[in-house]
Amino acid sequence: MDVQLKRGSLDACVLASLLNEDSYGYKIIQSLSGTVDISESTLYPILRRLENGGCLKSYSVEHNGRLRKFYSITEKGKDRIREYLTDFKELLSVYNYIAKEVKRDAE
Amino acid sequence: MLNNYIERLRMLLIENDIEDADSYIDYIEEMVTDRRDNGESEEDILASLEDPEVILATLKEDDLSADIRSARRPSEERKEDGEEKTYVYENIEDIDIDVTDCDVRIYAGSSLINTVTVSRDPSDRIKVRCDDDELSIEQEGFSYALGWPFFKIQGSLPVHEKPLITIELSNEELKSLEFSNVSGRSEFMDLTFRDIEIESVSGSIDIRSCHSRDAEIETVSGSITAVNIGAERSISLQSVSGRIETRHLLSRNIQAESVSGSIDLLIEGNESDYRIDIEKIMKEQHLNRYGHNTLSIETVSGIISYAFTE
Repeated sequence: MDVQLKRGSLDACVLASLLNEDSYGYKIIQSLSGTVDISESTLYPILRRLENGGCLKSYSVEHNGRLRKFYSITEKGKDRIREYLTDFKELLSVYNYIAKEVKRDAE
Repeated sequence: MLNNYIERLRMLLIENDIEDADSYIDYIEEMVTDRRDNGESEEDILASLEDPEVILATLKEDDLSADIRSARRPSEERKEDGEEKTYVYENIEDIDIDVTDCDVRIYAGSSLINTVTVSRDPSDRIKVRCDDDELSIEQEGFSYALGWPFFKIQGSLPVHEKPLITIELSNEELKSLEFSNVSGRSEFMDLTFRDIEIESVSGSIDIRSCHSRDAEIETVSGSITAVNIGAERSISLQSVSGRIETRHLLSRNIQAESVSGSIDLLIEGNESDYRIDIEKIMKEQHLNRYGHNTLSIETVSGIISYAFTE
């Protein structure tokens, strides 16, 4: 997959995993495990990038005598998901056109 | 075992100047603890963790991407010791430089990064700006009417010392170079631009091993030295009283004009490929030949000499 496309898709996946509840690193990886293969070292730059870009906010909560970092999605993060869905819809129509022409060529 | 892994990772990230190494270590420690709390054995966790070198490469790649996205401002001001300042830019496509009395040296480096070094601390009158994809350097606060005011006001710089601006550009082809200087010496080396425009009033211009689609070099009284210059469409060299001297010019259209300065050209290729127009008004010398390229030389009183390599 194209690097930029993959990056955008991973960003959107991480944001989507936070739509219904705030979450933390380990749990985000768990919730995405059936959808995308994402490692700890891949997730970290995504979280950092999204937080620096104002799409996420983080806060720490004490858990079993240690601090756990939670992430919550911001309105900007929700806008980012909407943008991704719009872009992907356009891409999908391009895909459908190409697939249709390839099919015609095969016939 | 996990502690050893984390310590090894920490040292590697610090040694490689990863910006937020501590933050990453906190993150991975939390991740490891969560996995252990969820029943995974230390061996399983360790086996699944990526090699620290792989993590380093991932983080470096992300740092690079972040830098490229923020390329429209200086990414770094590396050094400031009162004598020299270095500004680092990335993704610059157009270079626009306008200075009054500086020596300037512009050359191609080997990195993807464009750096500008301004020495002798002339920061209060030289502005280095980077807007959109354009790097621009302007010199301000200079007035001939006051007679070298900057140097007198500052009192710390001898009159004869000009600030030196050194610009190291990436080797990638850039869109355009627009350069203007008044009295400083200007040097350009090993550059590729789509278009080159260089102007100087009394400062000399020295340009070597540069390539572009069109190249225009103009001076009033400074000399022009051009060596190994290739311009796909045209090369124009103009001077009022300055000497024009070239070696190994290559272009479909070459034009050299001077009022009183001498013109000495060595052109790559065969003379028969050029239609040659020479106008030397004072001595009424006209020469015309026909070829698919053009060479035009014009002067009022300067001495003309030209030759071809073949």
